[in-house]
Amino acid sequence: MLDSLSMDHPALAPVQGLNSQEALARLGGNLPVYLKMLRRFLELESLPAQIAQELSLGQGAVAQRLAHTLKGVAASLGADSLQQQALQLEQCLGQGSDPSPILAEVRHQLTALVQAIRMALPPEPEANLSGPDLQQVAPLGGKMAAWLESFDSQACELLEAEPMAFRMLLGSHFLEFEKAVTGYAFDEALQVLRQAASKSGVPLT
Amino acid sequence: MSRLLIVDDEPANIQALNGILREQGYAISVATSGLQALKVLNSIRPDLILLDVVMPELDGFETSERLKHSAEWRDIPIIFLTAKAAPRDIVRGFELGAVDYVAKPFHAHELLARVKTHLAMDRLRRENERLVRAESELARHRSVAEMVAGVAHELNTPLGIINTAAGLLTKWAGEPALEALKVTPEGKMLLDDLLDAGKLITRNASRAHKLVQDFKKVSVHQITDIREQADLAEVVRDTVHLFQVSAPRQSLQIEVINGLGEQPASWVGYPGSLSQVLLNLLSNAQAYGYPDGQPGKVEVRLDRDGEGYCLSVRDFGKGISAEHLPRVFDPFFTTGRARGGSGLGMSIVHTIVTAHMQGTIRLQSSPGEGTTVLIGLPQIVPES
Repeated sequence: MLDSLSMDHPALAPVQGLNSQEALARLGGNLPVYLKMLRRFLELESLPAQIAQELSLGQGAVAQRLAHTLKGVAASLGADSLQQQALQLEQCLGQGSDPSPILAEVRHQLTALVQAIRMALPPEPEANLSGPDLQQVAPLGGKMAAWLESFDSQACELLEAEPMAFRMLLGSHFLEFEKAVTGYAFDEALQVLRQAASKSGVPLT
Repeated sequence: MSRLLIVDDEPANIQALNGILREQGYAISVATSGLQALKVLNSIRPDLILLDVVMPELDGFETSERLKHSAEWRDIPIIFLTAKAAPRDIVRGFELGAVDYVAKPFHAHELLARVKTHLAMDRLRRENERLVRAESELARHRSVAEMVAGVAHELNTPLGIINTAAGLLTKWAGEPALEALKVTPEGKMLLDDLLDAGKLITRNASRAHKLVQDFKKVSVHQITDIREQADLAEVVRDTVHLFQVSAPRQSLQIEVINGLGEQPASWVGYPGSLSQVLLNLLSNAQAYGYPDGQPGKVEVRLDRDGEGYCLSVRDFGKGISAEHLPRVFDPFFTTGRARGGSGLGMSIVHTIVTAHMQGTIRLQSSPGEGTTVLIGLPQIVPES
């Protein structure tokens, strides 16, 4: 099945296996949010491998929860077929029967979908890429610290808008910091930020 | 704007919810587990929680149970948000204190409508609680005031008799028929003692009579005053002037600020009672606002407040301790009994403002920063 939405939403090419129209309708037609969700979905490509690993370690409950997560995300994106497969996998893991065939099917569908989405996604919106100086970085660091302290989601918005400033402030810790912020692990992100700032002697005010 | 807390272990879900809700202007805080949600709640207080059910360690149901057991958090409305939407799960969610349940994948418009509705309901619930508290506080104050006035009324008659009898004693002690007693030193001493005792009783009976009159004033039924149209700014200005001339040695520097400017402050109410209120507040500021004898500043301010007026009296003195603040309007509560305070002034002020003039009165005070008494008055006070 090929879902067509190119007329209504020219920013996203049609993707096989993705009922984008319905998912977008649920989001009230909010395309930017939908595109962000799709970009994040790409990070789930390794999930079947993680599930297999957890099973090999005897962590059936963890594997089941990962399948539950995949089902939920697939449902919210409109990946109907993948959602069905993930549901079957979750149930299969709950019953303790052999998950190998259905896990293989999930892996196959997920890989295909991730590739198709990569092709279809428009380029990411440009962030502020001009080189900041230390004068500008310190107040941004303080702002970031304040938002992380109150677990406020504006921390993500700030990082998205000023990636170069935080690259400069965080140095070699940037990737670790970025991962924590985008994963909403704000207390962890705050720790990394404080360490990096004290190392570089930038006050977080 | 309201702050919502999203609790979900899946960043993709948080991202979707955050995107939709941020666009509506909500402030969003985020936790990725039930345990983290409890930690987040130590630093922020959200107006509503969107809580995922299936999470590792502490799931949504257990998290909700913990929140509902905490006096501090139990009132925050919780909406469960999960793909696990079997009827028994929905029922369990409501049993655990959720106000609503939204199935994933959620529909943005539906979610927003539910969030908005529950925020509005919660605001109404809190406002209702505040009104119930204020009403019961008012009822308590009135019943104490009525009791005090009742006791005062009962004391009035015997006090009158004591006063009359003492007067007779004094009068009789001066009668010529008793002159003969003065010829012996013992007789003269006895007569003088009798006179002194009579005067002592008279003096104290009249002091008791004055107190009893004050006690009666704490009840609204004892207020006699004429309702008339007046310029509120003028009433305030004249009363402050009266206070200044009647207490020439007072140490307060009083500034009157008319926030209405040139606009007329037309008011239908009880100017006499309002003057009494303002005089009581000014004497209080003088007696208790600043450490003994020290000069101080008082700001009397009149402003529009919706349909009515707001009259505030502010001092910049030592303030009232948090422990005393809730008792200030109680009859007989005073920190100045040694200096002759009866503890009735603020109680009378409260009765006049709330019962006689159908207004509101509240106090703001921090130790070391001073006290502000805020009085809200309707533009037209209903006839008593």
